Amino acid sequence: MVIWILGLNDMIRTRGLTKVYKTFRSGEFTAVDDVDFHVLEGDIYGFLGPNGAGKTTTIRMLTSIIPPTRGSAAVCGHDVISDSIASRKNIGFMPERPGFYEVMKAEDQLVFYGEFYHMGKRETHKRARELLDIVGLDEFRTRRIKTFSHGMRKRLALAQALLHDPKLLILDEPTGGLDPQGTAAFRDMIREINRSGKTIFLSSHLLSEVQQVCNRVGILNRGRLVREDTVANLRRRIGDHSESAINVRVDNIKPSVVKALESLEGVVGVEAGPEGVLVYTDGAQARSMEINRFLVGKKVPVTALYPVEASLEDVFLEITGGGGK
Amino acid sequence: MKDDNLQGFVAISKREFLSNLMSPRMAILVVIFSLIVLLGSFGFATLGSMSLSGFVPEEDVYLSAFYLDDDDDGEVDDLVVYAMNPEGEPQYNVTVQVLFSDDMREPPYWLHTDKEGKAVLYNTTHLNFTFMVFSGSDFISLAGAVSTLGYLEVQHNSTSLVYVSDVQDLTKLSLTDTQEMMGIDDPGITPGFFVMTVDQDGNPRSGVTLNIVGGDENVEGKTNEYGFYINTELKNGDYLISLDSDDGSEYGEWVKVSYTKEEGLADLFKDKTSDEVLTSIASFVVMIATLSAVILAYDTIVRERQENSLDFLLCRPVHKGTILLAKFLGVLSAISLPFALVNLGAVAIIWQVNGSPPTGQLIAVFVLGVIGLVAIWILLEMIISTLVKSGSTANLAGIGLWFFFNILYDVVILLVSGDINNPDLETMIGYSYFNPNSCFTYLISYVQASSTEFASDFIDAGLNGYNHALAMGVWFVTLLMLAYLVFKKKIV
Repeated sequence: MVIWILGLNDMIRTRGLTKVYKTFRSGEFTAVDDVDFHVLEGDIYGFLGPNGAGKTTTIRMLTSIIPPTRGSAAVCGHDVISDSIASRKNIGFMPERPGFYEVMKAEDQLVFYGEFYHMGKRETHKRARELLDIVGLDEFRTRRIKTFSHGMRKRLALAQALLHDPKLLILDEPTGGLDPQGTAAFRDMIREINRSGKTIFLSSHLLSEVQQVCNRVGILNRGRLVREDTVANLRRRIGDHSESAINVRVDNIKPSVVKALESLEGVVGVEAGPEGVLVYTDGAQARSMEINRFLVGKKVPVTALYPVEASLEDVFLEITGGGGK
Repeated sequence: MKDDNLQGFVAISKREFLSNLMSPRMAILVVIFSLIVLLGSFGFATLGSMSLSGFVPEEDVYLSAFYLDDDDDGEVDDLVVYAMNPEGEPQYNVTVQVLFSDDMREPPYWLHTDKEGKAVLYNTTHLNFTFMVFSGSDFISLAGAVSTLGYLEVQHNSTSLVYVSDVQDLTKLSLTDTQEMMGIDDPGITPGFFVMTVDQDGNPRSGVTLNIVGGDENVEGKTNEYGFYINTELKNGDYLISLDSDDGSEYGEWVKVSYTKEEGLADLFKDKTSDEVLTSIASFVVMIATLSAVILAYDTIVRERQENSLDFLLCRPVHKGTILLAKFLGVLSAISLPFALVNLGAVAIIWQVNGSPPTGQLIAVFVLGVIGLVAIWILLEMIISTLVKSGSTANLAGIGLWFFFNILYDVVILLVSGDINNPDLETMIGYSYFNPNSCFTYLISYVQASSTEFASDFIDAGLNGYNHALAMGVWFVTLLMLAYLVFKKKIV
């Protein structure tokens, strides 16, 4: 019996979560190694990591599909092993590669999954149609799934995850394989779902996705959780101890001005481009204002001036050993 | 929580049931199963009823055959055949097909009896013959013969009859020789001991006095005008048949009379009861039903794994064991429903054709036993389906297993049970527990045989159908537990 001491608004909390696979050929392989993290109610939690980092294995443990080798996890206060049915009732799960019964029609497929949650037949049909409308599949509800494109399958998978109105959505690589429009639409849907009060646990190897959608992030590398924080904090930490760049947008800038900029105090380099210049500084906070004042004094028509922030990619590469800028 | 499990169980089993029931492969299997089982039951039942009207003659025809040594050189020259009815009257136009059992490559020879009931095959050197008798247009009977000079044993509808031929020939036989006379307990056939006497030219000899001595019997008989004598009242025992020759010397032949049930070829389907017909189709049912289980269940798990739809089930509020059990029951009910209906259809056909239904106990054991057998095979397939990584491997393994248990296993058991023609039944029964198909067929045979007054060789050898029913139960429980453990272990 696992006794959980949870924060009032903890939706997921793991403690030493570990999954070890044993194979005949290569012996033991630790897919997830002693992972501790927590997801708060209302979060869009990005679970970030390169391919093979152990994200999907962690998710399969959270959804009670596979048992952990060691450690434990709780979803909405229910242990995923000893109280798996209760924890699963609170989860809407969208796997990376959703597999449906191909010969079924979209609405029938949702109704089938609805039968697991004590939903009445009429209620399930109504809910299925609502969700198909939300994910943009309303006109395809009587089409067999075998005729669906990859994007349509992803949307249907999201609909089935929302079917029983769960508190927590676990999305494994939700935009994987989608075109840019599809990806953008999906991210909008995720934000909208979050605004409706649902906590979202989003696994992705796409840094941009996590950066754009999530407020908190856990970074997994080779099975180990190497960082957990808010996206803003992580970016700030990179910015604290490295150079920063200031993007200056100008229509036309003379080479003499560029040279003069280079000689300013705190400026370590200047790159001229078609839309302006990128000024690398020592990172001191006052540099933006000084550069702006200098350019105005030289009567350079500045249209925009803003610091280039450290991206999550920088953070990720630094943490995972890929090196930062 | 139990409600959640139940809800999930109902959802999965319902989907599995409907999707399998409506699948094209189920339709194909049901058509094949129906054709084989319904036509098979009709065929067996019809054959059984035909044997009552067509195969058994209105009047028995007894064959007598003699060798003639025309030139007295001590070698066979001609074969003479007589056809008589039980009253000892010659039978005209009886067709006798003579097969040369000492040289099967030689084509058969056809003889037709004349008004004296006599047909002759001239100039033959063969010493062993088998006779097929055709009387009229629809009567076919088997007459077997093992012959030496002087006497001929002919089986007629499984009734072995001893012919005592001409006095001269009798002298060539040892007096200690015995022949068995067998009859079957069937009012359609008159088991009888008869003697026909002919002279050296093969013509009937009338008025020959016969003395039949043995046990408490001491009977004197006389051949009629056609040289024929019959006695149908002799009890089991050894008898010395003797007669006076023209020169006053006495010659005799020891005959063993034993009426026992023995089925000849013509009796294979003769007078089959409805129970026997239903039992006869059991082997077909086993083969098709188990093959259907293989074909329908081989991809139950592996397909869902390959198509990733299993995760959608595993993440629902339902236990793994429930998923497995629901899938199992869904497939089982999808197969059992149409197959049970077809089996009941077979029962109806047998009833219609034979005029009486099989016994209720046999019907119940048959229908439920098929369901039990299918359940065992579905579990076997589900285990394979969980262990392997592709549907084609699962299918191949399933077919292999089907081939092993349906064909190879019986051959192996026959080989290890001693003589193939006369295997040790106790050994066969012992090994049958390890084959679920055998468990079913032995169970059916037991239920059928135990409802008749005739003893079964297998029952004599210790066959007890309840043990086989228990063995099926053990198979089921063991495989169910194994399937659960494998599913729990492998789906990670």
